[in-house]
Amino acid sequence: MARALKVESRPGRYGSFGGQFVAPVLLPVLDRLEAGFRSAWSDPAFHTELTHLLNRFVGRPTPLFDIPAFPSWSGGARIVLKRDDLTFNGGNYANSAVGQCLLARRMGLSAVVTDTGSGQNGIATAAVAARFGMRCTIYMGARDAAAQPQACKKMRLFGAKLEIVEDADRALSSATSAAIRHWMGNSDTDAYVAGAPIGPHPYPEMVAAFQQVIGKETRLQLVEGGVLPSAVLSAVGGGSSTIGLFSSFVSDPSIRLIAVEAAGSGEAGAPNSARLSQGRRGIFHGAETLVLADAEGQILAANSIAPGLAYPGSAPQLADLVSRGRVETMTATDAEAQRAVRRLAETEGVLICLEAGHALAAAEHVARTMEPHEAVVVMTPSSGDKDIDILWQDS
Amino acid sequence: MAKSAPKRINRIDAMFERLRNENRKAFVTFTVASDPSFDESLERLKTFAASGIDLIEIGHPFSDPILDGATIQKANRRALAAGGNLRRTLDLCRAFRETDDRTPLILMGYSNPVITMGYEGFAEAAAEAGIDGLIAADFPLREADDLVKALAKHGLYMIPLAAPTLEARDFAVEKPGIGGFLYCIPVVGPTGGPSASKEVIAQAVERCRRQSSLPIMVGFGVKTPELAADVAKVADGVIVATALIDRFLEFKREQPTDAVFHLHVADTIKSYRDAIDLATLG
Repeated sequence: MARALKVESRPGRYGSFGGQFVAPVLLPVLDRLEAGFRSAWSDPAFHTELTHLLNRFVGRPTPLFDIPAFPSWSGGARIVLKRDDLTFNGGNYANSAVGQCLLARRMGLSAVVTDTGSGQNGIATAAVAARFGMRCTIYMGARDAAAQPQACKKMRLFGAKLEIVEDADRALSSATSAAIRHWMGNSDTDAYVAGAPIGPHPYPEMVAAFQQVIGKETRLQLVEGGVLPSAVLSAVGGGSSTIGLFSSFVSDPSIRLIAVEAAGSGEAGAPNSARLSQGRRGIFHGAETLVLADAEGQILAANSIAPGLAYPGSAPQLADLVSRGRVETMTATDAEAQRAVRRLAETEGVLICLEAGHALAAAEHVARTMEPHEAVVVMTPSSGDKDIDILWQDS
Repeated sequence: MAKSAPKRINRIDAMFERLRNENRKAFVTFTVASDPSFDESLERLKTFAASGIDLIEIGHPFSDPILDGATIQKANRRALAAGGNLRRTLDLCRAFRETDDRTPLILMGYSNPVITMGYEGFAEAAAEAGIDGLIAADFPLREADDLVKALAKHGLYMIPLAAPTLEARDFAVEKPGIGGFLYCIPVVGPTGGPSASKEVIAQAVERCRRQSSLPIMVGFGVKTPELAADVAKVADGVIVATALIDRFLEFKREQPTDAVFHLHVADTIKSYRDAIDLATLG
């Protein structure tokens, strides 16, 4: 388990963040899940099967990639990408989808329900559910669904039942709400699959545990290459790849951990997704954490060109790590992220997602000021295929 | 008992004592503050109290009411559009108290506006506005130590939610600041969902009685006067929320004058009230 990452004042808490802020009727469900997870996690047979699926089904380990042609400056640190876009469906969500579906099956559940914003978590969950022969229901906001028609088709090809949500923001936040309502009514048969280490305990701990594989691989690959990074950067949406990558470096105080948030258009007062650096302490989607909210406690809509970053809540572990000063925050604007993604495509022939473009844009600033013998790691949680229509508009 | 016990009897306790003496059961409804406007909300509270409602649950509007069904989600949205929020909800309760110092008022809603105000600041402001208790949809007792302490200090109750699947430690907790009644949810799901059978409801109430000495009210899925009457036979009170909000919206569609609308509201309340009283007084 990610021991170094866990600074719990009591079970389910990361410092003063976390907890179980849910309808009381969900408490027995969460208690069962926690017991099921602890039992599975301490069972070597579970790990054997999990590792086998990660290697043979998901396609791990994913490589580390140098991008020597990318920098437009001379000198500075080397930038390496952790390429989780090279998994079977092009994303890191598969790590926790496999883990949670495996756990659900072990607990005797026959179906899974989840939510998706960019479509990535939905596709990963649908694929894993198909592999396991489990029923799968996925909620997606109508606005997101309209923006990602290919993702919708892919989920349906995997046999998932896709429910389009017309409520509220018609995006991830309302899809999550709808999926939780579905789960409340069907918890006897359905497991809720969390795409990110958000929500009530034990979800943050469980998703972090399943995503740790990213950090472990990265550290091993770097050590094999004879380097330890000076900084590790990841763009923060729900936080699954960020927590996964940071987990293996958090106890190394000499390594800077930088969470990159979406600044939206970057104009003062315009909506953004910078809740770790600018959010308030609040209670949202089951946990006490940092959220984008107004002075009256109403949740504000998040905004970013990268759909996976536009979420008003944050992982309680990240909220704690930022509050304690272990994790720094930086922001990148829509335009900076687009420029970074396009330059990488033009110079290296690699198309990464706009989410990772935010981290890459921030990495440019960081790497420039460093020495050539240093290295900076940038998380690439998924491929840029989903963003092609945003990145290339025929005139 | 809390060391700084409140000077006055909580209105919820007073209500149950009065009803017990009259051999009657409590009839409770729910409305979202500022739905559709502050002024109309205030009129509705007065109409409720005048037509036979014993206790009113007032929802403080929230942007993300994730545990509610479509009816109450939309009510929250209308209320937010009309400028509603937790502070305005307290204003509404204060205004209601100018003419009614007896009907208990319970705030119902989500935690984020409460934690944003701060537990102590919230409890003080709520008590000052004439509120008697709090039902927090997403704030289980195992997380609520600090909030419950603040409520106790100001003479308010946190109302525990109980469900058949819940272990006693998650609802039958005896502590200053927890009380009023037990809100028994016989079916698991969001508000406005399907009804439970009267047998299932009776079993749920029976289980609550074994675990807790608090009065027991049943909500979630109580739609018709007939089901309300059946619930009143086994529980100490009945909560009808979504079904009434839907009825009132139907009346509104005919664009009645204010007077006619409030007559409709009063008549509907009375039909449930009569069914409950007939079932329990007889």
